[in-house]
Amino acid sequence: MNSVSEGQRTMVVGYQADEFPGVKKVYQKSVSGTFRRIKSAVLAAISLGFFGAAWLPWNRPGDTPDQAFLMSFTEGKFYALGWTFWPQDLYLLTLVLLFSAFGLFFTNTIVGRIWCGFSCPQTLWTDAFQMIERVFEGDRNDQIRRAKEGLTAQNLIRKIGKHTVWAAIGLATGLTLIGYFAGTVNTFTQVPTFQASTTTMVLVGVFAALTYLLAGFAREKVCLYMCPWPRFQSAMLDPNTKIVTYHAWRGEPRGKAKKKAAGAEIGDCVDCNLCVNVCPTGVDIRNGLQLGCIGCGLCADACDGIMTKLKRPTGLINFASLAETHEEAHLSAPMVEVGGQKRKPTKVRFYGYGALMILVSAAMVFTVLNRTGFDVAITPERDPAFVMLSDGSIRNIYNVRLSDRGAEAETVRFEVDGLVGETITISHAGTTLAEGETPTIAFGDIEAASLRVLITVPVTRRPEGRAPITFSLVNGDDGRVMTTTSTYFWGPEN
Amino acid sequence: MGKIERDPITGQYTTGHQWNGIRELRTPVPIWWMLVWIASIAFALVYVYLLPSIPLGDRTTAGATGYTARLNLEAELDAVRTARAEASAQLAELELSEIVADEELATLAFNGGRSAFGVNCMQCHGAGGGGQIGQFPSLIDDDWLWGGSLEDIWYSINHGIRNETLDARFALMPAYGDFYEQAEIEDVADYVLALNPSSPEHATRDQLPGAEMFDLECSACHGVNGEGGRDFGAPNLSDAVWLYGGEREEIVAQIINPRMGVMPAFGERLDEATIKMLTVYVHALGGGEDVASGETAALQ
Repeated sequence: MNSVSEGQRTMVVGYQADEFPGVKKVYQKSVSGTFRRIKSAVLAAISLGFFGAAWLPWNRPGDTPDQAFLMSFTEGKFYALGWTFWPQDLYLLTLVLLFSAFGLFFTNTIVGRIWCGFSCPQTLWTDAFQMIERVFEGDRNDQIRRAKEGLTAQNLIRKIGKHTVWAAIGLATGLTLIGYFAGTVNTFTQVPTFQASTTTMVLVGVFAALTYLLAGFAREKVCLYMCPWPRFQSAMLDPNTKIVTYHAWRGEPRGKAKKKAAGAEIGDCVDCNLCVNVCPTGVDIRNGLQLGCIGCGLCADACDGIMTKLKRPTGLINFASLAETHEEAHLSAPMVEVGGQKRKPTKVRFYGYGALMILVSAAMVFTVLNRTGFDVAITPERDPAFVMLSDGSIRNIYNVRLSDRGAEAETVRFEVDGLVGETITISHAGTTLAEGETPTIAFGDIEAASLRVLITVPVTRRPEGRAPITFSLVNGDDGRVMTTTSTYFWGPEN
Repeated sequence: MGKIERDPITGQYTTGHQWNGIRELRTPVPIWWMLVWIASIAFALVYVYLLPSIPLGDRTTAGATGYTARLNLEAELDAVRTARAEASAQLAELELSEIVADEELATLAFNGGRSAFGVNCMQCHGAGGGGQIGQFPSLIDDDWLWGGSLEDIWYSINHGIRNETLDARFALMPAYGDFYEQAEIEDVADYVLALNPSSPEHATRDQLPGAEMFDLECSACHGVNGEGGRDFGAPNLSDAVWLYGGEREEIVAQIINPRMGVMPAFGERLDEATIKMLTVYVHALGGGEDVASGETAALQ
């Protein structure tokens, strides 16, 4: 039994419990370099944006809330600077989500998982929490030492300090996040004094606790086990994608710098393990592209530091594409086999995602710019489809919902195209407001109205079956057509 | 108990037991799992103490908090009733015309009426109030059997039609199949069809064989020109709207053995405010008339 070799051992039992990625605690070593600087800058910018924008005031008239960015659930409106979005603008959110998705795919085809490595909230908050951890418990070696020492008085004080700051950041995150929905001033003043609503209290608590747990404890396990994105991101890569790469052709076989100086035939990697120690997810990039790599480039920073010290060229670990690495290693461009012929790999993903992103952003800009403050939704009454009146004339009923978000019109009137000799009557909540060819509705201060519009066509003009009609909503002030909607007018089929 | 030892292949401890020489690896439940399990037990105990939980046939153990979903619902309904009390009292007190004149009250009544309609009226008159030809009258056209003013509609809803209550609207049409021959009834049906001004025989209808019988039997309720009589719920026979169908054989069938609709007196089921809300709603559906029944002739 004891003769089973190491290799066989792994084959027999697969992983041992502590060999599963993420099970062993990752003690991250601090590192300096280009990517670290970019990461810190992004962290600073996003934190400032997230925590700062919640406090930004914006002067709005009347009772409207004065917070620049507020998704008010009580009012059902999303305020963003000078814009106000209503629930019916929800489709814009679809466009934003589409844009984000294609943006993610697009950047992924160019530079791999930079979203994960530089701007994902999980990465950022973990990064910040680790910075705080280092302030209280020192860098990697000190942290390991303290873990071994156990809870001495000094370590306990350091731990308490660390957790206090973590909890404070967690709470601030919860308060700020919910502040975007319930008002930042409200959450920050009412939650600590237990005056806020139960919903607000619970939600702030949940988000504070999640921040504390996910950034303080779960950390890389979120990326390794919880997040779906790493699982299919490799399908988004192509040979031209810049990914964090260890140039094995240059680094292998690994060996001490002294050996190489003595003339041994070995590569540039001195096996110092620094690239593993600085990795936020604890992976060894020298094993190649893997699920655990979030593409943050900290290992490249670490390796460049060592290479500079050894006066060897930097870039043993850097952002490089598979094609480049192949070319360096084999001195020939990589080819793929398509239909029996060898070809250069295409850039179809790059152009495809790029085009989709441009398309969606164009659609977004177009719809936002052309968004009128005036909305109309027309639902024909279907039960019954039409009403026959005493004199044989046919009436259709339309439930019309109007909203005037921009207070654009004082009065509006309907005009209908596609029928002959029709009469339009508006019955609003039991009160017939107007009657005649083009009845006018006083809109004034009303933001939204629900109307019952009756269109009656005389017996001699009634359509057989279905007739397409166009509803136009005309501004009573200047006669401008504000919006048109197509619908149908139903008559009896003979 | 055997010896606890390390398994050489996996490096894990064994349980110490041996079964026919086979030893089992010790893979205890993870500590966090145990903690969650213990926490769940603690939670369950607290839950059982605080809230009703153990079923005892017709009831459950009462929790220390006294909470039950039933009481909670009752409290919520009470809150709704209290919140509506003022508006309900106002609706019950005011005249229908006053309700309609007040924009805010009219909106309230319309919306309240819509939901009450969905519960009480929709089953027969349809979700949109369109009725069903051959069964239940449409409430959204301009043809009313018993009148389409606010007051008329209120009376119809409150007292109903041809039910057992004293104040119900009531009128019967005799089954003429018992007194007349089939051919005579068909003649009258032809005359009835000619009552519509758009009929080609309209101008010369007096020469039709059914004219005499219509004058004798029908005009008392349905009017000399078939314009209907709302005091008897007698439908207008000269218009385009036919509750039980406007084909010749349908009219014949209706004369031989008439069908007449029945409606419950909702005053016995609903409170005054709800009936008024329903009235406002039905009146606003599209067929509401401005003037009460006796004076409606001017409107036609």
